[in-house]
Amino acid sequence: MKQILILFIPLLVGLGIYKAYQYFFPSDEIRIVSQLKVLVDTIEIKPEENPLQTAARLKKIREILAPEARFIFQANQEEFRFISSDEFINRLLQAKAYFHSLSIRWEDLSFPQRPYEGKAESLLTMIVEAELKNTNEKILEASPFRIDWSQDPKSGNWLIFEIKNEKVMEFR
Amino acid sequence: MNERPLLRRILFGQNLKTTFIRASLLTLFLFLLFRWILIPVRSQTEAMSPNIKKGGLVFVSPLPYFLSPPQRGDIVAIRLAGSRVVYLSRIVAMPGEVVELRESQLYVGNERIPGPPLQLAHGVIQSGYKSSPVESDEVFVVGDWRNGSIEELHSLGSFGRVKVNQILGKVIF
Repeated sequence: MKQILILFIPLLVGLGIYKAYQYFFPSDEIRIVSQLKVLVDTIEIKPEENPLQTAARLKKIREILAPEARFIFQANQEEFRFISSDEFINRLLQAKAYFHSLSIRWEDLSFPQRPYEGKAESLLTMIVEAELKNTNEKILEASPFRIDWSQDPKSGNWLIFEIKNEKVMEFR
Repeated sequence: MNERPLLRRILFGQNLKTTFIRASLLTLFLFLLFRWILIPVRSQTEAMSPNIKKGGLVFVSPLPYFLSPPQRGDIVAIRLAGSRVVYLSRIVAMPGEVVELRESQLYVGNERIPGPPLQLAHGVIQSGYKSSPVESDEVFVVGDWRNGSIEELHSLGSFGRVKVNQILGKVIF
């Protein structure tokens, strides 16, 4: 037992120091992950929330978007483009009318282009779980997305420059 | 000789150091096995019902495709952004072949793809779809669950052409 404690105590202390260092001096990747958490929390539709509360929450999305942010979603053969954060927020507010609840989580986050000179590129699978208002039908969809980031030179915050879903399957 | 109490012997063995090394090696082995060789996947949709029910657990292995390329009829896991979330679907057409929809039934050339016809609401019959020929680095996959239009199945990740390098592995059981 003493041998195990001798091995484990330095390991735990080392892990604690590493976590504390990450907390006080987060890497660019960790700061991007925090922004992603803001994105998914903001987009969420909560059944108990009224439309005004949702609108107020959605406005927070501006804090994580670059001024020229654009969103490109391809579904079947159609492409939907939102070229401003206002357009994107309006579309999300419209979605509130159709969905009883909606939540998003992500998996498989990677950085094909690591944060460098104010630019970064992340790839992840977004999983959307939603319930329709009219039919109570439950929806579960997973799609890979590429998110391009740019760093605000003033605040140093990482902002979303482009969100685009990646094609896995060709329809035609 | 000083005997250790029974519970302590069961938990830590005769020699603590040896037990610790064995447990670490076993943990490492199991981690590598289930991370790279026999990847557990839980089906979250009806895409492969009734063969793989929603909530069912399957194991995917990339090993079969080291020996031979994917074959028609294989149930495969298709990577999205990584390997933690995948689509499960069945290969129905190989390079050079064309998938067609005639009266809600899927065909590859003149051969009918086994399985039920597409079930649309109100018994509507769907026809007229014809894919482009499957390219040399692709396969065409269709899920076993056919309740919906081809557009709906496509959005579920169970209808379309995929690159072979997107295939994570074969569902083996």
